[in-house]
Amino acid sequence: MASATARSSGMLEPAVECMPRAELDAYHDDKLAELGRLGYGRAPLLTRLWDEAGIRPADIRGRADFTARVPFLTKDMIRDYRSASGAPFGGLECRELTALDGVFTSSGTTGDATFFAEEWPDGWSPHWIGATRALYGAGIRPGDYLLVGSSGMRGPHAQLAQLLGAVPIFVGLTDPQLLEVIERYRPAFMTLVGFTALELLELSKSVDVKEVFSCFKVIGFAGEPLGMAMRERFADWGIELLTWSTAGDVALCFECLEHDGLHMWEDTGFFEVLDVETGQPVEDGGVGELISTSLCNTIAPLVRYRTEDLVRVSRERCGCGRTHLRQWPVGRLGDLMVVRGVSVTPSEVWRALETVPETSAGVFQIVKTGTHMERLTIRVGYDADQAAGPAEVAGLRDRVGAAIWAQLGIEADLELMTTGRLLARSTTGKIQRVVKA
Amino acid sequence: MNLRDTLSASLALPRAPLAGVGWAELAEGRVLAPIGWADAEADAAWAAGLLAGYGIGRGDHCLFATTGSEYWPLQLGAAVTGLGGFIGNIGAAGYEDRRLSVYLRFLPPKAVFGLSAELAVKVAGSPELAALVAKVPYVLALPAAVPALAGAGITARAMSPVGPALALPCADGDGSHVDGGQFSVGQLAGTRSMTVSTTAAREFRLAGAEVTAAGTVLPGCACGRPGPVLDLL
Repeated sequence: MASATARSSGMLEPAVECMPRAELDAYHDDKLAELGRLGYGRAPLLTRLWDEAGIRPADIRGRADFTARVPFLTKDMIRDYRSASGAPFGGLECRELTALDGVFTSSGTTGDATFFAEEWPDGWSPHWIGATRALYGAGIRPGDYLLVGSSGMRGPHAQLAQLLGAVPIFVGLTDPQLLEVIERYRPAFMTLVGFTALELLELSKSVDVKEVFSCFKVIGFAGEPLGMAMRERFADWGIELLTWSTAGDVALCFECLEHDGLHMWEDTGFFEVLDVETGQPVEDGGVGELISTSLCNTIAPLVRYRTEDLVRVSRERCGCGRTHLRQWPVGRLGDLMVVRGVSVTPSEVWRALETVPETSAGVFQIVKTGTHMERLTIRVGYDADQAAGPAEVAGLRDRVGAAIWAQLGIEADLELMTTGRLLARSTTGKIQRVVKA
Repeated sequence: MNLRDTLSASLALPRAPLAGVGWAELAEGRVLAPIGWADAEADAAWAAGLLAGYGIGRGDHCLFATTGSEYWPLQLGAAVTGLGGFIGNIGAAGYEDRRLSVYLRFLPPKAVFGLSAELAVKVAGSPELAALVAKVPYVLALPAAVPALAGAGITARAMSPVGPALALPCADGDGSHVDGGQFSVGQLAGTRSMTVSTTAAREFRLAGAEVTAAGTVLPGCACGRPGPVLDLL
């Protein structure tokens, strides 16, 4: 891959991407004041919440009023309103269905998926418009080829390529002709989503991944955090990963080539980070729950939406020069648990499993019976090629148990199974790291 | 400073030489099929003409079941939004039955496109889900999915890529149509094997290439539309 330095100068909208904080603040003051006028009286749930809080649009003149007075919105509120009323967007709809161009969904990992309403300016998906800054900044240029077969859940992924003057190739990572496509077109970008990254591990058993993937300027990775072992594996292959995620369900956020946090475009959303216990703002650098407000969705905007994402953020200017907020995802609110008085997070379990070669891919699930538990039960996927017989599996159990003990100081009940078998339990296409018993 | 400005900045970049690169499933193998901008425009316009016959218009929901690596959702998506409707999307895998259920319960579509065999099995195995699918006015499924749906009492009609072309049933006719302005379809005598030729100056051209999709070329359709009409079942 080419060096990052050679490709780091490009910005699609430098004046916006590097906008001074004071100008972003002023922009937010204006947009948040507008938001009440858009939603109040039109969106039934929003109107009810504001009525209950005793506020009217005129009361919200900017950030200070907004953060002090506007009530929170949760996914359960949206689901409950939808179930009770049948309103598809859970009482957030401000306009008729005739305004829609696309409706996509959350992953549905924790219950019925919720909808995201989209209006497409001039026929282009806002979801992918919002990703163009990041890819342009990563060096994707007109004439490049992009593989677009792995992420269709948020609408026409091909548009991401077309918006950048690049050519989309409709091929997924598991496609048998993937190598032929790479050899013929030398694509510059593709995205790996969640455990599709494991396909590259399989591929590495038969081809020289470093050579084959040398044409990619960057490879996107989304869907869940990537463990250190996999990260190192990608580095060994010479693959520069560009991690991306959702920005509080109102937009996308990507790393830049500095790899120092995910840029949240603050012209598309207003973001707060609040202490989970007190609800008070968390200083930059501290961990809290991400609260998001949509500034570009006039159909069904999320307003002070509790994402249940635990993040750390910074408003410092990034090394790349951009000024918008950066986030570092830490986990999910529901992932917090205490086992015999010891705090346990999926990332700690992950780190332990990565030290054992057969489980280093990080395919596992923690079985949660409550926030405070007496026993830690973990389903662990292992590479069947490395542990084929009962004796090997028994030895593996001892080593995995020791790794968990070394990391957490807790004895764990282990349910070992092949990686494929554990992945087959997925009901959403991605691994749910914490599952109910 | 908003998405429109970002869009303007993007569209100011030089346009790509191709709209995309898809696939043609041919008897000799699966081959890459480049799609020109004029091809894409023609494909969307033809699909819009056919979907207009379903009465799809402003505020109508059309739900796609896709693998993510197919060209037809882009073609049909442009057609649906061009008619004033909107699209939803689920994956083609069997586990997408949950997401299918959510769409059907809370945002009932006027038409579902591309139901896969895996999803059809899930639908057939769930009376609740089958009842929801049965309420959809138009269910267009891949040929392999149609029998399972029929077993659940759901009338589905077949749609499928046929080489580089798309065969799509009209609302009330006899078979699945292929755009005659772009393609011709032939029958290998005594078999259900078909050949496809391009009849327009497309980026990817074929002359009498046998395709993997099986079917029978019909003499025509009661709807009277021009172009090849296929029975894919």
